[in-house]
Amino acid sequence: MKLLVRLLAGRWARLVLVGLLAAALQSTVATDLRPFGVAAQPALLVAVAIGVARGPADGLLGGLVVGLVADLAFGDVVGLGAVGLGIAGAIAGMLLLPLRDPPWWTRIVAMAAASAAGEAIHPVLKTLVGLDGWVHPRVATVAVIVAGLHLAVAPMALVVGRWASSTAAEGSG
Amino acid sequence: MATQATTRRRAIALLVLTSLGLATLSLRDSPAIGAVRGAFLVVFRPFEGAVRVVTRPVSNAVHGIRDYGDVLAENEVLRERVAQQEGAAVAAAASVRLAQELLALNGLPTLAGIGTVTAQAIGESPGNFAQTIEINQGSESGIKPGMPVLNAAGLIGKVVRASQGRAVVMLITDPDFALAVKIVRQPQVGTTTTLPAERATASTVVAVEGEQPADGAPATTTTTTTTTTTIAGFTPSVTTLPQVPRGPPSITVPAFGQLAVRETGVVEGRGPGRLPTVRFVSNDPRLGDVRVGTPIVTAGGSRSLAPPDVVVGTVTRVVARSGTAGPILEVEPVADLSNLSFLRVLLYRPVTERPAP
Repeated sequence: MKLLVRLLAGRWARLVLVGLLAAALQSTVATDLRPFGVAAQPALLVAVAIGVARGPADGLLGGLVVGLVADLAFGDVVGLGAVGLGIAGAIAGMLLLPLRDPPWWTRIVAMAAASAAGEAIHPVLKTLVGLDGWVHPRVATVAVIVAGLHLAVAPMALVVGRWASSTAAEGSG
Repeated sequence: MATQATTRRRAIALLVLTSLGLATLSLRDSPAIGAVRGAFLVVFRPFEGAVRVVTRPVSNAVHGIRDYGDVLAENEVLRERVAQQEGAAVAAAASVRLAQELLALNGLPTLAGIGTVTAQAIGESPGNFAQTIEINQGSESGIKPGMPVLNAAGLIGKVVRASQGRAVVMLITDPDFALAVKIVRQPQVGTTTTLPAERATASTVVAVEGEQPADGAPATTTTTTTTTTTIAGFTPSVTTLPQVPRGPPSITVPAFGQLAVRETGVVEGRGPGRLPTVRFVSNDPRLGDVRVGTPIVTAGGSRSLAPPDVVVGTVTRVVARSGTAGPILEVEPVADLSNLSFLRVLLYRPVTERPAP
């Protein structure tokens, strides 16, 4: 038990654990439900939550780690999703930079907007590496629906993102 | 604080480089990626299984509320359809068996000679930008990337990844999917030649649509509707002997123009909500028309990943192009890709990929 507690005190272990949980949720309940034919993206949600909670650099870092876990679990091109989630996490953090003390609802809105951006980036990245055929008007629809779905669970994700990216001192204190 | 920022910068640089390196290897189908993914999945599968058990009641409750009415209506329609098709299925099965025997007798490849693995679809793609499904059979059953996957109706896609107990199938609607197919063109005019023992006679048997009679009288169209309620030519409890041919023996040879012309093209997916298309079809009127409803089957061949004559779909729209560019055909897959359950993976490998004996 002590070992588990010490392990979870490490930031990297927490990021990987949250990444595993997000990937598992994505391949099970999110894939199964698909409101309006679009699947929610828990891994993307965690990445943007870290970005909103800790800033662009931590958002990028968290997105890369969670993205790598998700890519290894089910990604078609390993590493590409990680880059996409890293960019989304950084965007989420940058959206709040102009605000000195952002109120809670701006964080939620920023998460939804960054989710839409992150979802739209993925087909663009696929096209950049030569996997054509995904950039068409449907991307906008999917991005808007994903943003709406993430908006509903953003407060909970923000708590998870804050815990996953906290340093050892913050975690214990 | 400065040390922490430096560490973070280094970690970001390392992760970005790792991601780009992995993406490069993944795009080159490196076996190292397969090995890393396989090792990762050993850890991930139990985790995923536990999450599935916990979240299943939520999924079931939502499906119960959202889909109950639709399922009832669909069940009614399916019962009606099953009743209609029970009789036809017996006749079709007999025809398929006969065709397979004829192909085997002539040494031609048939699907009957290819091993299959029955699998069940257990999940869709977790992302919104991939048209894939996951099946519950994997490399231990002999499944390898590239093998074609069918359901009862026809081709649905090909295996792109196989691991222990699981495989990922790319559907024919995925933009990365491409496969050589044959288009069975309709003949314009046909002539049947009957060859008796001594001499040959020829007569035109297929009328050209819209053709005016020679005397200038307007053409008339007669529509005949035939409804078959039982298997054609089959009467229960009655044995009918075949008719004994009378007169000199003769062989009926359909002329070239009456035979369906098979031409090759490439079927390509275009993403969700859009029908696959067939390109690289010749624009030669001598080969006949491609019409709506024309069947599309796999072409086969020594380099094709699918054996010949697996049904893919039918043409729903012909987009004509000017000049020498052939038409683009929109294809409606015969398989209902939105409702996949039991599937067959053909353990087929083209000649060029089989290991040398």
